[in-house]
Amino acid sequence: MKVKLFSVLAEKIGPTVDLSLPDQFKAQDVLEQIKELHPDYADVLDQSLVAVNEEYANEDKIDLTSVDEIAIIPPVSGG
Amino acid sequence: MSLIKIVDKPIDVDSLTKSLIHNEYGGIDTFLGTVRQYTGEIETEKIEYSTYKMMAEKEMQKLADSVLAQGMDVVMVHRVGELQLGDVAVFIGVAAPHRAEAFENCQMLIDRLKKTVPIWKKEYDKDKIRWGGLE
Repeated sequence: MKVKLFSVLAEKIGPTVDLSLPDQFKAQDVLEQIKELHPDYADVLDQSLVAVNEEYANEDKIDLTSVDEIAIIPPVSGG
Repeated sequence: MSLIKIVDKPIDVDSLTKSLIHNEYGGIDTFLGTVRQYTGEIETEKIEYSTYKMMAEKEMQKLADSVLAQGMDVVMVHRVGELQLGDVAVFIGVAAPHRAEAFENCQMLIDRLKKTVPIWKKEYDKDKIRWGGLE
């Protein structure tokens, strides 16, 4: 599963990161996997949220079959 | 006519403001966010904004919908790409029957946009590059 990255994460790591996610997972699991691959960005990832299908994910379990797109949302700073 | 979008060209403030004028509304409040040179001691030279466009427009639409549902009109436009000092980064406009709702909802929309809409700034300051939002 290619996970989209933005902002500082996209610039430092790349526009996507390839993860293998289980059939059911939580948003936090996505962040943890990326932290393992890129420990230098753990502090940014700790401040980031996960979006599934262009919606902020909550604490619930996510079925991989329902997922079209996952993205990591670092702290936003528009305006 | 409500307009919610992310653009990569300069924001035409005059035409967006005019688009909010309708006979049923007597109060229009607009907010412009522009690129500021000084933040305390820090001197900014330019800002690059990036976005997760599809999600950002959805999140902006959700915010706007809460105001549109009350019978007001809303314009929310955010610019991305490289912006220079003084450039308009964001335009928020609310047209309402009376001024109180226009003021209140315009402020609510910009406050929430800054918290939830996936747009990021990379600030080129004289001393170094800063990424907005990070602790």
